[in-house]
Amino acid sequence: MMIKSSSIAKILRYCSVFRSIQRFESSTTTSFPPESPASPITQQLPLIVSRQIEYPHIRYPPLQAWLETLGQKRDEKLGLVDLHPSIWQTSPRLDILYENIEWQKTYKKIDWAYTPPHHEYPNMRTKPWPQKGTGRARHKSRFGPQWKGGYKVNGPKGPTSFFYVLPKEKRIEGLCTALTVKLHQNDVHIVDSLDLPTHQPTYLQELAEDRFWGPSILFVDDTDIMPHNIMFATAKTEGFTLMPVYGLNVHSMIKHTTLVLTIRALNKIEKKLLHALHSYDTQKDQPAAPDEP
Amino acid sequence: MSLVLRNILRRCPSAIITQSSLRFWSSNGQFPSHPMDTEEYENQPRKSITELPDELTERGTQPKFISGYETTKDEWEWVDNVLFKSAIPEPPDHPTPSGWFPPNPTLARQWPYFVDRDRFHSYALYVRILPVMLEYWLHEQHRYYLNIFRRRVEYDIYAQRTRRFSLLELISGDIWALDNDLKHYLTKRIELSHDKSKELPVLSQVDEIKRHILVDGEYEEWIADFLKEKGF
Repeated sequence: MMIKSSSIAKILRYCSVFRSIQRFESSTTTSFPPESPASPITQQLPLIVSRQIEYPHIRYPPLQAWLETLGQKRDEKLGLVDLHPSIWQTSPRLDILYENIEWQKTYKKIDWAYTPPHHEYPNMRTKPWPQKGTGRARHKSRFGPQWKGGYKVNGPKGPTSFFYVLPKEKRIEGLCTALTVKLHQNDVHIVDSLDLPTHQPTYLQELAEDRFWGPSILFVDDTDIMPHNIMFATAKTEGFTLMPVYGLNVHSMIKHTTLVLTIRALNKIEKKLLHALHSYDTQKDQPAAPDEP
Repeated sequence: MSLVLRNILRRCPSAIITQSSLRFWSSNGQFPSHPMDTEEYENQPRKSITELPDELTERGTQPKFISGYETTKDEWEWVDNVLFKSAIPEPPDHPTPSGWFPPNPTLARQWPYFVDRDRFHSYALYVRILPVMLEYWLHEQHRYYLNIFRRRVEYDIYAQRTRRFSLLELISGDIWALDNDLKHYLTKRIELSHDKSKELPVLSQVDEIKRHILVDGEYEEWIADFLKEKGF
């Protein structure tokens, strides 16, 4: 991928250290970041992570975002990352976003309300008082629907589930919309990895405060096995959440103020979403995704 | 069994029945009384009408004649051709004999709007017959409705069939500019064609949230020509 002149100017302006430009091809087979995560940055800067963009868009070129780091408190940008416009530059479908959030809320819902019908009530066949003579209304039993404590005819019966599965296209469009919205509201930060120098939660909290990263942060990595330091720090901090890629959902993205992705997570998300957007799976033939363990 | 006897049996306890000579028409007193839920009944080999009778089937017997065969894994491509593939192939860069045209990016970039293609590389252009709410007011009674697939659908008495709409989706950019250009193009086309069933003005509905344009009338081919001219 060719480097544009505008991006070179940006790099010179913001990077404090200018070394020789190093091209870094990222693919699924190579491991990223390479080595020495805990120590301060020793790689040559700036890193322009030229990712292979699959299914290039006809009209819109790839977007660009800063590559940041959690390894040091000082906000140094390591380089630029390309983002696919089909995912990160959609026309945001707010109605589909709403449907996704509603689905996430209601598909787990079970209504336990139960009113027993008349045959589950005690068999009081006795008339409370005779039909005629007393000045009161005529009744057959003490448990009629008009009585207090009586049965209900068409009341809720048993646990009712509100389970349904939203169509695949709507779920995909919801994720793309949420990502687009987050990016264009400056709430997405792409990070080389989730490796921290210390396990102290104050380090991460102060880092987030300095960079104005919002009260709640969602850290997304590609696997569910996370480094120990970030695990400890997020466990002790309210509002910081760790999540693997397979747990990414619209409600969490909207609930948390900022979204912090690693490069590996970004690769995996883009691959999965693009594969789903550009293939045709009938309900019967849905093969396993190529990358899953 | 007569009704009288049946009523007697209903009221007699089963012990009396087993002891007396009425036993032959009650159950044999063993559990389960009906073969429905027993294992042998459930697991018996089921037979359908289309299956051959037992004498003609060859269950467990060797076939009389086996032709020579050979198992290979060569020429897998002939099998692969037939299998269902979820990956959609890339189309060619030139127009095809079926009338499909590839998009023209240089031409498409100059407009303030962009109409994307769907995953099968075709226009997102559809015909719709939309349902209509039932109106009870007297001044609406001149409208005509049909019930199709349990939906109330508007009927066009001039075209003498249901009212059709053309839907254009996957729009990004300035939708109103596209709407304007589309309406100009369609009015010009209608004037040139001198078709009495197509009436002016061309009515359209723009949905900014769902990013689509709904045009009243069946103008699918003309909208496709419009998109081809723009290079989408």
